[in-house]
Amino acid sequence: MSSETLTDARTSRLLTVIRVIYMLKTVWAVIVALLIGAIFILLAGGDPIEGYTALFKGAFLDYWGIGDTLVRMSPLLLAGLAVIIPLRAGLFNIGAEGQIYIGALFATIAALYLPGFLPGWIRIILCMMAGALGGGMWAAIPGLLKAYRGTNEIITSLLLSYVAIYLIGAVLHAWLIEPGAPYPYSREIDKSLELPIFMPRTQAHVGIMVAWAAAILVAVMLWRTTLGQAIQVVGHNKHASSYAGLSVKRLTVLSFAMGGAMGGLAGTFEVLGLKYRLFDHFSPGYGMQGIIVAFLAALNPIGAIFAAIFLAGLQVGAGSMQRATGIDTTMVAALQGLVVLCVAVGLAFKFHPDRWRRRIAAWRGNE
Amino acid sequence: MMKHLKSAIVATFTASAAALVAFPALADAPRVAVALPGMVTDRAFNENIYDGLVAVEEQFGSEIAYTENVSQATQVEVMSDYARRGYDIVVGSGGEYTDAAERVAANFPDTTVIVLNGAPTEGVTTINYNNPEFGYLLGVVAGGVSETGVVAALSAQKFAAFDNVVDGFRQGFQSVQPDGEVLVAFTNDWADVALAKEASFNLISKKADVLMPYLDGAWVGVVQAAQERGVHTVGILHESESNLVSARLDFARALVMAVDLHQKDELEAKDYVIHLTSRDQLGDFSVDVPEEVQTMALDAVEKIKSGELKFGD
Repeated sequence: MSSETLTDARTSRLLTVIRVIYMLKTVWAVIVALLIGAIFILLAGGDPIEGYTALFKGAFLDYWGIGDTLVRMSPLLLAGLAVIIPLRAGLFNIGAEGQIYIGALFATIAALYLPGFLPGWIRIILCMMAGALGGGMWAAIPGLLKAYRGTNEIITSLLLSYVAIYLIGAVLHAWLIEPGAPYPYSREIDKSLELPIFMPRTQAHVGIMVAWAAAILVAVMLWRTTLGQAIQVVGHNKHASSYAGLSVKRLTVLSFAMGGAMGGLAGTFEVLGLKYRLFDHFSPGYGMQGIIVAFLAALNPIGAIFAAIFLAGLQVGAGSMQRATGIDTTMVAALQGLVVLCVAVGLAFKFHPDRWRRRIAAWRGNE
Repeated sequence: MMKHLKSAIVATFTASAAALVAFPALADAPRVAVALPGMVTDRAFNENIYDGLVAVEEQFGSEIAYTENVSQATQVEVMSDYARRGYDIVVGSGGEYTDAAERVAANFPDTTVIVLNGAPTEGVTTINYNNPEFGYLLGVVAGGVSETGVVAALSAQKFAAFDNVVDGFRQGFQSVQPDGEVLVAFTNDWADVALAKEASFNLISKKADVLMPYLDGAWVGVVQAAQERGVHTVGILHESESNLVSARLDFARALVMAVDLHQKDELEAKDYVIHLTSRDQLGDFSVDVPEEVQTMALDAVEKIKSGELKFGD
């Protein structure tokens, strides 16, 4: 083997290593965030090793913690998908929170008023369809306004979230509230409509698996169907898509509606799988956190599964750390913010093979 | 040498005995954990319960823990986590915890689950104040002071405890001003001071001249609005010098009472209702409350204590 071929092989191997390092940039970002967080914990008088042990054990190594992480993952993943689908079409859906609420409302109404003679599993499916329909219709509003009036979808979808949250409050107060309830919530749904639990004594319900299936289906739709390809083409260049005969308006509305349906499902599972009632203010901001999931996953629906597990684990583990070590809740919130910040900064680092090849060649030349 | 050794043994024995006598509860003091919907510095409901938790630590030698800002979605998670960590008593603060408490109690039968200000629930100890009694007293004072004949109650959300307070408030107010009107408003946020202030201005513009906030940290906004517009407030979950008077729904005391019953093995999974039994449960009157109104309110206290005035159970 000539020395030139050997150098090429070494360069190629080195490039592969660098590529892997870049691929793991989210991991490095998390490590950096945890290191900075450790300094904060030390300054607050805590023990970072004890705290982080509690965090990871609480989220990923403990039966109960795993259950809690999965439960938290479900709405995060579906909210992430609600952001990913429209964003693949170049549209920002900031209103997943509202879609979650409207989906929950539709699912609750279906659960409370569907005729009781239908078998439970059929009613569960109908509730899921109702929830997805509700979320989809709500999301279609900014889609329609964008497509036919050119209204900024970021503003309309965001503001519609507040409308949805207050609408649920109004509907609960005026109609659905259980008489004598100690908090604004609806009647309890029928036992036959409660989603089965697959981890005994935890709250891990089958909606979690449906969320995984939804992520896979969205991936298949985006990369293996004409519709998905059309959505992505619109996302790359609207004018070229239009010139190529694609109906940009229809795809705009459709991608928003499909995203909204995912948000609606998230709300549905919060009712059927977790609370068994519609509670006022039941979501702690899953819609907004869905945006983080979407970006952590680099808009990849399969990646969103891991991003949602990570974010859910961080939240569950942070709570666990707080309860185990007494580290202040504000510190926990700061740690979550740090992770998001570092990951966001990490996204700015992109692997450019040519640049690295030139750098490696320069180093070799200096040797 | 032997003398020193003997002295040391005697000293150690004496110290141990003294410790046992002085802190008899330490060895088997229950570990108590509380989940709170807001911050412990809100000078209202959350802070009141936190004060109770600290009192439990001091009085019984209990190990205590708490989590602030527990959202709807994480109530079961947080309470279950405390139960798994071996806390003997896990407390949910507010009616919104009732559902979660029922599930935690079912999953952890060895843990005592308590909800303060919650609805009666199977397997759960709930502790409530007889809300209409306290609302009535504030209504009497509001009725005696109001010049417009319009007063108002504000909360974040509509729910049973607030409805009961307002029922009593209305009865008390109309016992003084039979044609008087009680306005009710909801802000949809327990901690948003600006929102509460805005809602208060709105109520004041409808001629309400006595406001009763039933809020967490957001009560500050109501007091600010009242001070700026020269009207009055009465307090129920918070105490402020600017109030005409404050009814003391003392959940700190309720928590201490529950732990005490637990220590005596007498705490049951049932609904405990605390009635007005003492003048101290109504705070001091401000200088804006005329003597005759104070007398009316104190008469009402006596009537409630004697059973002449009855509300609910």
